[in-house]
Amino acid sequence: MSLAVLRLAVVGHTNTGKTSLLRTLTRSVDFGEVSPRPATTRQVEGTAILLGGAAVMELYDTPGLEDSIGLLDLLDGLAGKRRADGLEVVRQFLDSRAAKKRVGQEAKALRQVLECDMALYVIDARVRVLGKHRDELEILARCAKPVVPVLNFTADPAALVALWRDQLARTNMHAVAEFDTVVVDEMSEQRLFEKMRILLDTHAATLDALIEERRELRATLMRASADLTADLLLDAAADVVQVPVDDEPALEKGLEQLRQLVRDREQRSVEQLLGLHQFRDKDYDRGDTPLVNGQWGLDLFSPEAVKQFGLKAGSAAAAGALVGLMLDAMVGGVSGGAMTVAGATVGGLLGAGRTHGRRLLDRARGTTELRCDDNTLRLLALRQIMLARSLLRRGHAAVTPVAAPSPTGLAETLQRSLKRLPSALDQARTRPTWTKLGNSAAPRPAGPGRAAAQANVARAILQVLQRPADQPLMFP
Amino acid sequence: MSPSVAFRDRLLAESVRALEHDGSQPIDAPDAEAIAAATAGDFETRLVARARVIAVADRLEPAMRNTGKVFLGIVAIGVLLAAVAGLSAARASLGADNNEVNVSWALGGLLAVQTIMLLAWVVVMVKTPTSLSSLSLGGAAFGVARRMASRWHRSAENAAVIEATGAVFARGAIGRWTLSSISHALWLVFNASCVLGVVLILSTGLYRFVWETTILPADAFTSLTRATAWLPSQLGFPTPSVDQIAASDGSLTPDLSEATRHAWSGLLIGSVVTYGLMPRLGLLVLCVWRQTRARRAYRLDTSRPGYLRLRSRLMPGTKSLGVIDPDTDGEGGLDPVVRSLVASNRTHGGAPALLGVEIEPPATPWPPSVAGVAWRDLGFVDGRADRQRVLGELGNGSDGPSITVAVCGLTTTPDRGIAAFLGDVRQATGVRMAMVLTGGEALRKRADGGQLATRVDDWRALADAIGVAAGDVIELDLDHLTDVSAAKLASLLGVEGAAAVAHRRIEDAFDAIVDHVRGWPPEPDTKQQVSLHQAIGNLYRPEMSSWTQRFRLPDAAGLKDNLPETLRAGAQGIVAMLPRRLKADTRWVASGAIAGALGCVTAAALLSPAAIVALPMWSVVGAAITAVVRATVSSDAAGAAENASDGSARGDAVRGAALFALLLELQGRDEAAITRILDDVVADADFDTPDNVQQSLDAMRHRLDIALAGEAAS
Repeated sequence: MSLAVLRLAVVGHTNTGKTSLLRTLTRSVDFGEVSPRPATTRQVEGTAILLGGAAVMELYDTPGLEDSIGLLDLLDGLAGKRRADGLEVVRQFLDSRAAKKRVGQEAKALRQVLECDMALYVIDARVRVLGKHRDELEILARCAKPVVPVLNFTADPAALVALWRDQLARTNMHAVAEFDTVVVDEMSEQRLFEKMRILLDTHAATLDALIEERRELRATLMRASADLTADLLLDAAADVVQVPVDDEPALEKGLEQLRQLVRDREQRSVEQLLGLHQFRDKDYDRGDTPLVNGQWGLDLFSPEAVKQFGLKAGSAAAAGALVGLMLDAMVGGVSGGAMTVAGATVGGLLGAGRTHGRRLLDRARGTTELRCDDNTLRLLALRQIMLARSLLRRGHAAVTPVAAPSPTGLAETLQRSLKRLPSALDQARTRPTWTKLGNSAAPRPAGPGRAAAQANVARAILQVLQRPADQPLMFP
Repeated sequence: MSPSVAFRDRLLAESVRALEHDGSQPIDAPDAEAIAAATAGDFETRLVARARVIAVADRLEPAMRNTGKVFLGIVAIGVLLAAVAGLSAARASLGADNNEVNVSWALGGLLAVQTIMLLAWVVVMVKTPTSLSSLSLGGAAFGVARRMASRWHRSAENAAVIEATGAVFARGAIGRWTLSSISHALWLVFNASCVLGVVLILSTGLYRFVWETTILPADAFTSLTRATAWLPSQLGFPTPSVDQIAASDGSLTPDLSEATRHAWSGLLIGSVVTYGLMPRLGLLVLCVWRQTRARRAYRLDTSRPGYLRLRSRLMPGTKSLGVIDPDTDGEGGLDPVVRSLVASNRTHGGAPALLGVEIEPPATPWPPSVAGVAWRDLGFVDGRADRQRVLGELGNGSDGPSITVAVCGLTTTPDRGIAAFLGDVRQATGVRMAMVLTGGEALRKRADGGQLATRVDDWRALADAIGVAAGDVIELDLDHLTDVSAAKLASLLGVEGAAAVAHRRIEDAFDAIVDHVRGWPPEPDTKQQVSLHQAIGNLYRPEMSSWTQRFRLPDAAGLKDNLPETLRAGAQGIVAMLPRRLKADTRWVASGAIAGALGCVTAAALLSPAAIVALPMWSVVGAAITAVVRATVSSDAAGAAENASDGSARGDAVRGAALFALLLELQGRDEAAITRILDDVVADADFDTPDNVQQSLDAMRHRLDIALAGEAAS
């Protein structure tokens, strides 16, 4: 089965984001050059989208149409008094000397449009509809190729989407796509392909295959993100640090040791997530992910981090996000001081009997165990989910940060959906061998039990990850 | 798909994944990736190709062999144990002291436990196949093997292989059938050695088979035995007839005839073979067959993050087609044709002509009112028709304009179309042209300040290309036309003394700050701060019509209704004007918010002193400042800000007042210019005690002088 190759010319006024659109559609950060200046692209450059190794779509980036008014004057002059066919005149113009001189850039773009099956006309929706835009549309109409207008920067509050749609309708263009190259909506690419399909049914199979492939890839990315998060959560849940009972300095040291292990593990997970989504170090620090320098700005164990996600930092123990264990209460030897016991954690632990014997032994030996509490796990999960969701939406073309509303509403939604942690995490608390933290010197292979638990947790995370956003998902 | 990928290769790929799984990045192996990317086939095939040639594969291969050996060894030990168990079961069930074998007990001893286990296996397979790893003999053997292997071979490669082996062989379909195969194999061995043991024992000793019952009728036992014997007898095992059964009643004299002994022995051995050995053999064959099928059907789960992150390297989604039509001019920016235009700079006595080029009508009246200037308004130019109209009007008029002023929007990207049109206008009039760049604030709202500077540069480049002198291009926001900016416009047109330019009062303002600070406690309250701002505001009272605009206050009634929003908007407006450097500093953001909110209060008090008295200012000011600070800086910094401002409320107040004074001193400039000057002037310094306030303000004033001198020079 070989799919018909769809050739697309990306045209538009200067500095409307043609190269950005190409970068986003091809998921390549390196294509062409993007800047907020006019005439950044002055050549025609192509890139092909591959499906199973074979090119199915060729996209050509063109120089911006800058002097459409002058060009239309030229075309009208060429047409003269005879009622010549628009396309004939365009061909005549492209052969003329003028096409090499004054309007050389425009000629390059038009030549490419004639070479292609279809043109994507990129519009900066923040700019008013001007005479030059009408002339650009008029010229494109004379090229006798299907044109899909693409409204860019639609996420900007200044975008004049309705105005543009109305204006385009007046020039008989009704299949208009909205595609913000900075804040990528998961559906906008599919809708763009669908619009193209309406106008070019000869390539419907190609576009369908592309839509399907992109959808699958996205689902796969979601699954993988959930998998990474589950791995992190199991490592954190199973990690245990042993400290002597009733020894405050040692306890503090143990707490800090555990905190540091979990912090480092979270950072590694962040890096893995970024790698998974094909973002490199220099790409992700643009202000529209919740990261600063590729790291969470807020320390995991700071009260603000807990508050940010709407989690209740009720007790002092929860604010520190770690609690001491716990079994002391059961054996009746409640030691005072920092051995704070959080009811929820006790409940979770008493349910599982597996290592109680060992803990009683520990108690007899005068040691106790420290581990992450539920809130820490919840916070870890929420931060990973938020990051994954923001990465799933992120355009590969953004060069400037996005002004975005606060994530509070989203955080609350997520938080509610994670009120109950997956039960496999409770299980993990009683399996210290499941963690890979703190023993990198002697690697312990993870067993099938952990793999099964990871699959369970990942399934739960995936459900949260897939939850449709009630609001645009953007980050400050 | 690809037949060349063997199961073992996939296991190797899984081992590689387990090995690099914990790293932030996959193992760096460009050669292996290049080979894999060149391999034809799907993503999985390429992953396997990478695993085959990657350098660590050389260490993983022996690890795989090691692990395999350990696993086989453990299974071998299991087989041995099963054989021993079978023999001892045979011994236990037949080894009565008096050579009298109770048939029921012997059969029960040999078959009951394993039959129960068999049923359990069926239940587990149907209900929860995942718990096989913990509930079956195979699972137990596998677990022991895993522990042994990880204890004996403690390298990262071995751990990876063990992990991968565990994930593949103990989970999913392969795991289900592998663990079941091991279980059945062990039971098969058990049964075989059981049969062997029974045969050995029966061959070498004389045993009497009896049955006994206390409460059951003898007939019941007879029919039960016949029923049990039916299947073995079908397979040719001799089984006791009804008479022989009756003769073996333990309460009677036992029948020791050879035929009877053979018959009972046949029943015993036959039962173990038919009910123990044969089902296990059948199930073993089934499980091995299914396991083989599962292995053949096994595919790597390419959605695992460890694989997926390699996708773009091994299976790129795009391919560059290169440059199709190269840039022939090689000239960045504007078309050189326009540049060649030379203006004759004729002079006319006519009124200055004004045209808006692709801009929206500004918020202030059009044409902008400049004292002493009567515009010749050419209107707005949007398209081809407008251009022709303007060029026609300029061409026709016998009395040409003295100067043409083109107002261009900074939100518009300059292009060659505009350049060509403005070039045509210049040619039509032949007089000097000036360009006013408006809409800077609108652009800044859209993106960061850096883009504004680039955009201004681009417009200047356009002006240069059509021969407009650099001095004739000014940034001037017509949306916020002030006295000072009108004066600037007037001086561009050469109209003298059109408006009074503000007098310098920054020294007085800074002195007022120092005076107030001396009377302040470490944490001045809002009232004290407002009184300082009002003192500063009073100094700039003559120009208040200009600077109070900055706060865009509603009328008195509106102020009363929307006080919190107004203050917040005022604070937001000032914070937005801060240069990026200061926006990153929480203390300066807080100070900007203070200057904005208190500036609002001051402006309102100057504009309508009566209205302001009744308002509940004090409670709202703090809330507005906090809200703006929170919205501007990331929340961790905001937390820090709250803490910090607890400590140095006086410092924040002084910084806010100093910013306010600077803003009033710099009024009339457009916001971009103010931002630039603030960037030069404001530096971090201590504002905690009255003395260092004095010093810091002096330093600031000094830098202001330098910045203003620089501005005048340019």
